[in-house]
Amino acid sequence: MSFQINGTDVMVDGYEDLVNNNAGFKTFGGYTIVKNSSQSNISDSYGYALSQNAVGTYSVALSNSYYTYYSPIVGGNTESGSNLRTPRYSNGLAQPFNAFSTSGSNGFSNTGYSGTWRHMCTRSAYYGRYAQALYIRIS
Amino acid sequence: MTYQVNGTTIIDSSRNFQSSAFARTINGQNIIGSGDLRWNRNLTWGAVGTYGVFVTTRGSNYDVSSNATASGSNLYYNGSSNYGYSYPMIRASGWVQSGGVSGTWRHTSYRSKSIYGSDRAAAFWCRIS
Repeated sequence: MSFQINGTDVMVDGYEDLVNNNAGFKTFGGYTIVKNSSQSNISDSYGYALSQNAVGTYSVALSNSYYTYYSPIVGGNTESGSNLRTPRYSNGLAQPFNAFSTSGSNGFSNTGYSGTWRHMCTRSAYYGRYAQALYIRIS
Repeated sequence: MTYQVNGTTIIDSSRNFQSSAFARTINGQNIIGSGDLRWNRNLTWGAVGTYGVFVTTRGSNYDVSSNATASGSNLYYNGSSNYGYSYPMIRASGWVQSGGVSGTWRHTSYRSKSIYGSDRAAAFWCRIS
């Protein structure tokens, strides 16, 4: 036995009660809320993208924009992903948690980030150098 | 043809349930309709659920343990008001400035303590309220 509207199943007997995609539910994380017997349950234990260049992901980086005491980057400011760098020292070290990277030919590696990132520290600035900070991709 | 209970439509003629039949929302959005209910991380600076990097003047000898909490007014960044530097990701000695955040934050590193006794180690903090 099934329950139909205009001749199309809405509810049916068995494991699948509501017919998938016939009930008008939104999706969650790209997956249909209404489940059929062959689908796994939706798990959102992480709740956000885990890749390094996804909206909602945090990263430690520095900006190649020049921020000074008089014009610092502050909490809530945004930066283009293409401006974000990671330090690279001439001896091969790369230390994201450090004071800053000195400018120069061996100073930066491109992160390859895209989109827009928000600066998530109170204030970052240094004369002639680049302070590392916490960023989150927002778009 | 629709399905009604006491004159109220529960399922319309296109077989869509009405939102009134499923009143619970997720992130403020009804589960009935079109679109995606993807979990949304808060992307606003200083908001509940976001992370920041701070040092704190709290804790015994600036020794901060996992799960410790601190008021936003006790969170600082490494910076000098005299020389203009502000680099939040390293330990702070005497020069700290207000983090400018409010609420309660949880220390989300295992332990933060500088090898230099009077310094404060920078760590991840998550605003929890």
